[in-house]
Amino acid sequence: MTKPEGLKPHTDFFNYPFDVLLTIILLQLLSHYNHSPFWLILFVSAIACFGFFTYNVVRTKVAASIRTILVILSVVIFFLYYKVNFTVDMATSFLVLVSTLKFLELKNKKDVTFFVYIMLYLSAVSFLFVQSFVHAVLQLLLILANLYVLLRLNGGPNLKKYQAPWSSLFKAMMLAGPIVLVCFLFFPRIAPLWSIPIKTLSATTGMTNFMSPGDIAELAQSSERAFRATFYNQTPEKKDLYWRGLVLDHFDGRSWRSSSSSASYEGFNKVDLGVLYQHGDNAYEVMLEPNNQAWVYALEPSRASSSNVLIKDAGVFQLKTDAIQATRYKMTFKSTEVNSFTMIPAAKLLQDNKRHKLNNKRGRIDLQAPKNSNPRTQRFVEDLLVSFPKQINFINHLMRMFSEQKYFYTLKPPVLGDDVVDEFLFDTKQGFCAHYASSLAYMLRLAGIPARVIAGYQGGEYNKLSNYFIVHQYDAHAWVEANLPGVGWIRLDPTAMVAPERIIKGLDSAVGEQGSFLEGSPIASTILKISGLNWLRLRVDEFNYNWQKLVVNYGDGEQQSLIKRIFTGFFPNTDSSVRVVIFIGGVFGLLITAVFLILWHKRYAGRYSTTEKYYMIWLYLLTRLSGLKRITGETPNAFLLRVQTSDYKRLARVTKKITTKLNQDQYQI
Amino acid sequence: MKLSVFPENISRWLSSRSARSNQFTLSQKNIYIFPSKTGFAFVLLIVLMLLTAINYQSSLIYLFTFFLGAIFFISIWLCFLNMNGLCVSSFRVLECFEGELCTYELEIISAAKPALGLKFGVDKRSLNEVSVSKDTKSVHNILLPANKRGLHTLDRLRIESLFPFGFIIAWTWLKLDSKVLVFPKPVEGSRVLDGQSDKLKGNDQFVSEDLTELKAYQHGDSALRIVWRQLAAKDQLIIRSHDQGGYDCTWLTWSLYGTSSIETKLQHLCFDILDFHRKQQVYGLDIPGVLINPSKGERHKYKCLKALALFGLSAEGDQND
Repeated sequence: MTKPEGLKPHTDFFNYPFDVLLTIILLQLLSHYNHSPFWLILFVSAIACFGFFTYNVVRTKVAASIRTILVILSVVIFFLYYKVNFTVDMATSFLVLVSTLKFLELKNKKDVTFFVYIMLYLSAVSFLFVQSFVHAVLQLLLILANLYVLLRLNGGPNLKKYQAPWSSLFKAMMLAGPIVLVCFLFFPRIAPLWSIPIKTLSATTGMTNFMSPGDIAELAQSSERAFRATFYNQTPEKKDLYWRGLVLDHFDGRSWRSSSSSASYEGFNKVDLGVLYQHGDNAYEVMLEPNNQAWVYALEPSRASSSNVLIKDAGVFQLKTDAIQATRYKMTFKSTEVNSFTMIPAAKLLQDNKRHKLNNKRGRIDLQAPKNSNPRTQRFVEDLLVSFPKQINFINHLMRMFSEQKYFYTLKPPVLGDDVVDEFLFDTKQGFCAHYASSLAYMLRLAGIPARVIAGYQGGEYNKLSNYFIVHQYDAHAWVEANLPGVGWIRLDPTAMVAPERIIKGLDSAVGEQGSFLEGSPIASTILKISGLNWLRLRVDEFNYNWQKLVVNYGDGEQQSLIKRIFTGFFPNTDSSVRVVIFIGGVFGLLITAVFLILWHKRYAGRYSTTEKYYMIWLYLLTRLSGLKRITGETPNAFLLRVQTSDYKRLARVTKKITTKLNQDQYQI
Repeated sequence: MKLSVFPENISRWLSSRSARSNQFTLSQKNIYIFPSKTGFAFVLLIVLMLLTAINYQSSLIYLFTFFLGAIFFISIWLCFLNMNGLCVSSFRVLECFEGELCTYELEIISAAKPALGLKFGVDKRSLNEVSVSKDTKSVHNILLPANKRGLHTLDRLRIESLFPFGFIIAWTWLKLDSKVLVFPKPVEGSRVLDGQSDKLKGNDQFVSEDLTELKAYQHGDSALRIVWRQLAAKDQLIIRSHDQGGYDCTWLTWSLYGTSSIETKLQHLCFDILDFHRKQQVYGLDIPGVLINPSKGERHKYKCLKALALFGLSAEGDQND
């Protein structure tokens, strides 16, 4: 039996909310803007607008020929642009492209539903690239828009006439809240099932494992955040915040890089996640902004106390995976006593010297110095060694030289020729931290003192509002570590000799008079100057930090410590896995109990009055206590008489009270 | 019923659950609910997202996935609530001719909330889609081709809804007592005997009666013909059926149509009844088992057509398809 033709309006399809679909595509493009090539954004917007125009204005479907041409065209352009190397960016861009092409191919309800599903998946994928709060809100709006489209598809004709779609959307959102919260907090975080290489084309930001003179000065023009750090107990002074990032131990006469041997791992430490998130002694945690790199910035001496950190030699650390999203790690700052090393200015003995111990191989690396360039420096060091045969004196002299001679600390050093160290040391005498560190380390090596350049950050902006440091890219810094026999590794910061205010107060005060601080970003530098705006900026930063800590970085460790915190009250001394099982069981048990209670309540709601319920409960208790049982059909009064004649006088009194009340309520006797 | 494959108690239970009635209120007893195909696709999407979240260890993708998962579970509840409390009933029996589209009428009374995206029909493939506002009574028609004369009861009525998001389908099968009387198809046929002789035969019966026949008032008769004097005297509504147009009356009998099959005869009879009715002529019906005295008017026509429709069938009628 078929329904005759013509009864179902054929115009249904064109009444679908294409305007909402177009908005979804465009907003989706906006959220994928950062990692998609510009041509793709333009191309996809054009396709989407074309599709919208065809469906909504012309009210027809897109011709197959046009679709074929567009598909071939876009696939060709796509592969010409990306070649075939697979990255997450490429996969995502491909998904964006394909889904928009699908938009041109919509024919019926099923197609539209499928399209909405792709859009939802794209929303999820976008979190791989951006994790900010604003982005999360945008994605929430996109979910709502997608759900609205589904409502329009399934809500019957003239849906807009009824209030219901809004109320059901609202209801769904409200009810989803608690479920999402419980799932988010307690859903077990599983280790990756298989490893997908996360390769992205988006440029790494921040430090590189390669430093030419002038590199760090470039970085210092950026006001972007590198990381934030919270100290749980004592907060060190700003001048002591030397965030060691990576060891640059190979010099080619012009630039420093990490030699391959320094990438060797000592291993990784096993950390009890339960203990980890209790605020221990001198612990601090660092929230790295996504930079697509694996460097860990840590103070010296630090111990890794989160399991995502690997220990490398030379006292540096590395993340297990690149920081493609905001990454949190925790370190313990083991400051036992203040090791003052007063023999050399701006020098500090490294406390964890055992870790930096020199072995033969390392020694060779730390003495490597090319002799085929910078002849003036080589001669200078030879001469100096004659005057200062003792290494301490030699270093002392070099450090004093930077402050006593006319060296100048600037973000805009003059461009140098081939022999960079020669030209800097003897001609221009103007440089940024990289120049000073580079030439000092080179000279030390020429003098036979093992030395290396450390790249990282120094200082940070202290956010008083909630007690943490914001380390910006302009806090990037480079300094030198040298090994003195009998003493060990010491930190030497030539910049502190040239521009002590850089170390004590920060870059702003060191180069502020030159007007070159944050020259490239006038907005950022203006905000820093206006106190009201600066306060607001710190507030927003605090909010974002909390967002990253509580939501973006909520992981296995946080979950276990939360469950542990909830648990210690109930079941102390249980194993962590047992804890998880009991907890999940408990949550589900509560849920099921709640459902049954609601059902039971619904079933009996209104059937019995409160007095009747009490009476029934009393009957049950009475039977348990005395064995007296009301016979079916026996009236309450008759039963009362029977109880009163029995031996249980006290129970009879209670029974009388309850029976009287029942009679009053039910029969107004 | 094809339920004989089940043991007796199960089939008794099944038939008790699916008893016919004039009125149904939808509740958890008769609403079935299950993920739809697109719902399963959505679950697949959620699983895919969860895998993405696990493999990239992305907290926000977890959050996103849980949100969609929660929406899925809530939509089960919303879907049920959408249909819960609807009252579906059918009381009027409509009629049509064989070969036409017949109309089954059903009345939907909504609860204190609107019910959206309801689809109803007997066949999964051809469903009408409607939405009803809250606290309203609305009448909806199901059109089905009438292939056979007789009194047809609507086969199991299906009402389904994918509201709100299409993940979940809620449906119900109701054995609604919605009936349609299907008359035989009117087909013109040649009568074997001359109409004149029938007229004579008819005259015989009417000769004995008075010129102006008095008869009891029946619903539908004109108020102009009421004999008011009789009402005053006997407190009875009596009408004058004077405009008989003489004694010109025709008996439609079985033998009139020769040796053609029963169905054909019924079709010819149907045509003639409609024809006489249109011409305002008096006619009577005399077929095996049924005798309807000559008369005319809507009620008489209906009586005759009903007799034709039900000829040889039990009064309950059999089921449509």
